[in-house]
Amino acid sequence: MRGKTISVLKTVIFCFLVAVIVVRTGNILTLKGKEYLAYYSSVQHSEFYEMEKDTVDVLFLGTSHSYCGFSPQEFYDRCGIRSYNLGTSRQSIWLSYYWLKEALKTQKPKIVVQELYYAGGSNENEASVQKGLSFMKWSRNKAEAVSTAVEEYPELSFKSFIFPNMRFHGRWNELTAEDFPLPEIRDTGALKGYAPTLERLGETEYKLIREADDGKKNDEGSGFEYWPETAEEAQWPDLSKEYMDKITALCKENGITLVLVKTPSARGWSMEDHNAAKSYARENGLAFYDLNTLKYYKAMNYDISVDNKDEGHANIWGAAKIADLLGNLLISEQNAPSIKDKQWEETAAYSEKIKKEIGLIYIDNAEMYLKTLSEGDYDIFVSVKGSTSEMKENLKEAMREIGFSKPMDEYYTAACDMRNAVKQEDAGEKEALVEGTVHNGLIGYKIASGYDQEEAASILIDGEEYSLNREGVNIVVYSKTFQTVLDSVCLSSDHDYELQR
Amino acid sequence: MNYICTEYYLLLFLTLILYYIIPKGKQWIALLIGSAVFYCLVSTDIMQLCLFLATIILSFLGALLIERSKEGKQRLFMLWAVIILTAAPLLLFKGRDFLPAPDTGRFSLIVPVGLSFYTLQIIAYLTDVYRKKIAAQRNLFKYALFISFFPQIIQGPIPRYEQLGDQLFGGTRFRMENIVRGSQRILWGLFLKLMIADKAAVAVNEIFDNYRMYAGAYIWIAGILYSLQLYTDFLSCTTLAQGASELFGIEIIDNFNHPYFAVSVQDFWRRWHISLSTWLKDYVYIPLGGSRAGKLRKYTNLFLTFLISGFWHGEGVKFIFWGLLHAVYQIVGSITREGRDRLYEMLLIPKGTFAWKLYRTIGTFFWVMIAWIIFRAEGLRAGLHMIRSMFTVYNPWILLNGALTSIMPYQQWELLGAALFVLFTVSRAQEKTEVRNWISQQHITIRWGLALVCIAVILVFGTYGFGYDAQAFIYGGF
Repeated sequence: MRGKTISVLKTVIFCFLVAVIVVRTGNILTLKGKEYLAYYSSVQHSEFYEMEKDTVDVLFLGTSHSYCGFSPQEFYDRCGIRSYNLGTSRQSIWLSYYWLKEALKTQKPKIVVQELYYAGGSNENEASVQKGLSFMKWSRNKAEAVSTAVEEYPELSFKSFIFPNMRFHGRWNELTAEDFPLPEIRDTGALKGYAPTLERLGETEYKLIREADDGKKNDEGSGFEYWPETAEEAQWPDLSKEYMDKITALCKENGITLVLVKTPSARGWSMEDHNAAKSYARENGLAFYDLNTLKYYKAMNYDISVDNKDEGHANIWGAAKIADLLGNLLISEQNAPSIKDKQWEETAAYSEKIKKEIGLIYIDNAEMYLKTLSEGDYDIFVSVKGSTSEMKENLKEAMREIGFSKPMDEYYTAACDMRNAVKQEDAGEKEALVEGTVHNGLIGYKIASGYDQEEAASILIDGEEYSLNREGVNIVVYSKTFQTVLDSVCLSSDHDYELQR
Repeated sequence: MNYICTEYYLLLFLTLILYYIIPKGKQWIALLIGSAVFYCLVSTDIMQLCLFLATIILSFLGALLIERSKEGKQRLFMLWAVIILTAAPLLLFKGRDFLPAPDTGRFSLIVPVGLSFYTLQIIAYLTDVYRKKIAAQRNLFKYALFISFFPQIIQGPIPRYEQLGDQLFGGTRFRMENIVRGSQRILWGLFLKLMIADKAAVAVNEIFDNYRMYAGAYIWIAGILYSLQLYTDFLSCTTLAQGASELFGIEIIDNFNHPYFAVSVQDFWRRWHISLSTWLKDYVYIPLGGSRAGKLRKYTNLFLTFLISGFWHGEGVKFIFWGLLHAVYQIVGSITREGRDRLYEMLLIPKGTFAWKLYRTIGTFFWVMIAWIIFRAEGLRAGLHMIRSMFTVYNPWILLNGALTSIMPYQQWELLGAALFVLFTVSRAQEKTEVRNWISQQHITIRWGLALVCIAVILVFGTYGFGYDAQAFIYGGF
């Protein structure tokens, strides 16, 4: 009997160990990675489950247009709205429906905001569906979602959702530190599903939608272009229509106000799409805010060339403007509650920090730049090329302020790690060489300059060259928050120590 | 469904539970149910099932009739009649390329799963009944289980009734040791398939499928890799069959004995696909007269035996050529044996020494590999073209300058190399000892550690899942 008990016990332990290996390897191999500067929003959804019950009043759904455009922290900071963004990359309406069902298990939102980019047709693919569902907890709802996915995509299999190894094990030769559950991943929960982006689109062709009540006088001289007026409506695919109806019904069933929104987009949105959405909203008694209409665009003081990352996604500044307008609309027209909550209070500082950190790349003034560096929490790498004896005293002082205390008259290298450990070398007659690691030893760097370096100024981070290698002070900034090189500039001795990129 | 998909292991698990909760004398019913479900799931057409069932019933009744027939011509006639009827689908299928009409009708196109294997199994059974070596099975369902036993129906090994019958019908008490040892074999089978065979297939398929683009050293690589792929693929399916059977306490014969350690082509055929080789020996070569009636007759018998082997392995001229090539190897080997022995003596390489074994092993592998190139190539002409380019194009630098990474990423080459090293080490150890016995004598941390590392390695590095359609077992196609 004792022998049998031991045998059973051994079997159970062995099976447990096998299960640990299967689950652990699956977790590591599952695609996480970064999209723009944050982890995929779907990774952040694992944090959604940790939100206190019934504290999310507004829920955002949709594609990357949603998770780049709706920043829950901005909605809270500006309007006191407690929200979470459950958008995922290329999230079709059917997938939004299942995320909504999932959310309703733990939250009772008053308002659901559905971003409409994929209402008129989607460009989802197998990978986006797999990514969109990877971090949803297993339940009957997920099983239904997976069944729908498998019906739509024959290359998907139900098994691959149960055993992510089947889908992702081919990634073994592209794993990075991001694939291992480092504490940093948890930090992304502070963004509540939002993915900050920092690029600016620049000049582009963009047409606004002008409705009858917009009038034609208030945009004189604005230079806006408009979609030609038409009553035609885009056709929504059957699957979109079916699941939009389901979302509408589910919201009605749960006493939730469904709001349809389109963020400013120069691509994939037209007058016909607007008309289709407007009709659907009218038929179902829903609010529809198209931020591409003149009224809202002007009210936001939006400039798509500056406030969008690209033709479709709002950047961090655009998201702030959207939150300002939409937050107030939700409060005034949809009765969204404005409540203080520690879950958003505690993350406000983090949100501010990332905004400030990202802001660095748009500073053009050398002194201001160095000042921001000295106040921030960056890893800073410096490699001086040639003589810098002519550098202005205020800049030298600013460099000293950061921690680079040695005179950097000629061929000098230094690394400043979290402002408390500075390694610096001057070349003398040979070379200046500084080596080390940052980010808990995960990222190695090597900075070199001097006559023995063929008079070059090199800054290698994780094996990649980032230095501009120009005459003057070459600086590379690594962001601890985003775990990436944020900026590479040079205080150019050839241009009176102006900041160059 | 195949032997590496999750559905198969679910079926295996459920059959296993059923098997051990049924009283010992009736356990075969669980195996029959498992086999029936498996066969239904792998069949794509109801006609395949019908033909398979008809063959079982026909051969079952045929064996009873043969047993009851009087000695003499009537009994022999009965045997041949049943064999021809039973083997007709296989003969039509394999010979369709040689038939005058391109379309031989619907019936000839029905190819039940495992046709090549179960046909030989039935012929052996009928012949053994005829020879009174065994008594015919009187229970149709037990006979159906013998023919359709699911771990081996698709790819063998080709079992003999006297070896498998009692084990199938006798039943087994639950023993943890069987589960452990069976699982070890399954794990090893998966390692062979997913870490070697399917990984090698990426490079092999690229070169063989685009052979006009490649020459010289590329063909050498492809030939060597295909030899290893075919071996590990087939060894894997035998090992998986053995592992699954061992879970039920059933021992299936070994189908391989490290064939690439063979020191002659004759030795190779004693070690390669043993169940087919012994079948050909027992039911073709020896009945033809074997080697007892002079050298000319022996060589003729060898030709005929390997002609049948080539015919069995596939449709088309290249398989016939491949079979006859092996006959030629053996005949030439036999004729030149003395001369070669004298050459070794002149070179001061005594028989049985390491150098003698090494050179002969390399030589045997070379000739076998050349034949495999014909076997795998698009056709006979393509195979000959590839072999010619091995000796006429000189481009060894492609082995060193990274050109091979355009066929497969270097990490995959490294993994394949490491997995082949494991296979070589295990095979060498198996020549001296029973590796599983050695493992079972080790401390639990070593035993479990090995198993868990193997599982993790297969899970992460194995060639399976999305983006890698698992290659169908090569011998399953025969």
